[in-house]
Amino acid sequence: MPKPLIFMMGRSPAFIATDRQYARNHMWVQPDGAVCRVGFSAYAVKLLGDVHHLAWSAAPGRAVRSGDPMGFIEGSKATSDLYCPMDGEVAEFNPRVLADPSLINSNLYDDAWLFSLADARGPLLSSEQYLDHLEASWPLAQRLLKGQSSGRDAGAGGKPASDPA
Amino acid sequence: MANSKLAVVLSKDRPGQSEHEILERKILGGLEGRHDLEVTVLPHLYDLANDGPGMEFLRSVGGDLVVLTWLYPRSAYWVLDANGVKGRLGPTISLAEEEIDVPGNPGERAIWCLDLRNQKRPDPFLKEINRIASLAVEPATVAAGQINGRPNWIDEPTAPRWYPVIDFSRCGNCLECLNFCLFGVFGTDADERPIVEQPDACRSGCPACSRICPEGAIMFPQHGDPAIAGDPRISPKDLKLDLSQLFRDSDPLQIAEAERRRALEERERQSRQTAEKPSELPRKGSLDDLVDRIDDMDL
Repeated sequence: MPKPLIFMMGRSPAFIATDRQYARNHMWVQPDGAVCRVGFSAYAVKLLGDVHHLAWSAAPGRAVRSGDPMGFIEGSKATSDLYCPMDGEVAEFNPRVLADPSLINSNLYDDAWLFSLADARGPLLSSEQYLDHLEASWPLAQRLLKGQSSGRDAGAGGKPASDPA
Repeated sequence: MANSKLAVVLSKDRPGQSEHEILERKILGGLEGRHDLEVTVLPHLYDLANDGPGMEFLRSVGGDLVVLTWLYPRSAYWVLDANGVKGRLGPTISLAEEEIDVPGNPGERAIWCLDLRNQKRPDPFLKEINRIASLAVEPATVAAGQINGRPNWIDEPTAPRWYPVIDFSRCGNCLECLNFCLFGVFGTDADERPIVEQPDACRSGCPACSRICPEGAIMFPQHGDPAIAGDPRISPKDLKLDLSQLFRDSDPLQIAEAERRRALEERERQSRQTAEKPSELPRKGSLDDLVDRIDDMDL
């Protein structure tokens, strides 16, 4: 894999793979033959913490639209509903990740793809565009990240604590 | 007139929970005829008006107080505190293992909060009340209490309320809540601490300030998410976030601000409805009351 981009979340780096595209909801999308595989970006995984629970509410063969709720995930730091990043049709849910959701923490860019979509359509960002998106939305995201050392500084309007420049 | 009875208050759940009503009645049945207890029945603690007969009664209790509610002990304690009912939180069976540091000072009278959701049967609660009664408790000086061994029912009319409750043992005084809320719910007291100044200005269902607070010091006791309702097992340091807005939209600006915007739109929609139907007035905030009273004075 080519060298990833780095997005600093406080003092912790999130590695953004450059060999794929991203949806604005922090999922990566990569073609695999006739379908597109979808997984979590490193940013999403860092927010979740150690993933221990994953459940899907959609079924293979179902037509989906961008933004449709598809499932639920829980990690040590957060819970979330999961939404489809693009229009298309659900092809497959990764059985290995369903059996062991913690794979998401160790293999988020390859083995721990979440699901695949057939006929996937919709706007995507390049890795550079995704990085810009993360940087632009970071100050407010920080205000909501409990336990992050730089959270309170940014939220109160002060300068980012982790910025060495 | 002082007496040595222990004040026991049962705060009912909101109407519509028949299983809960059954438990309440069984507990009251088990307390009947107890001349060492002053038993009072109130509506849901969270729905009581600050200046209503329910809270007035609670403020009149001078000694130790046992309160059975459908809330976490921590939530009940801080609702009471916000209404001028102060003391230290007594260690009961309803406290979670993690609750080692309980709020209050050793010299104060104890408020023993029991969470009625924890047990399906009345016996554990009755046993716990006996245990508390057997401890050396300060005599309860109550304005109204049991008559002939039967509980005193204070039937204050209530409607479901929605407002934030501050846990001052966690509050760090950053005033982000005051800064963030658009509805004027928060103010400050003489010591510049945040207080819930206009609870009824809070938009029903909006928990945005709870998410903004860096210390997890704001709770909405009736919210579905235990972390927001005041579950003590969730430490403020590792409060679990709900990332749903982030993982749906792209823009983290939506988080918390989306909740706030929705609440604002709802308020505007309601004002428009009021303009169209002047005979159906929405719930008034205290500011509206003040304006009305000034108008009535006809100055």
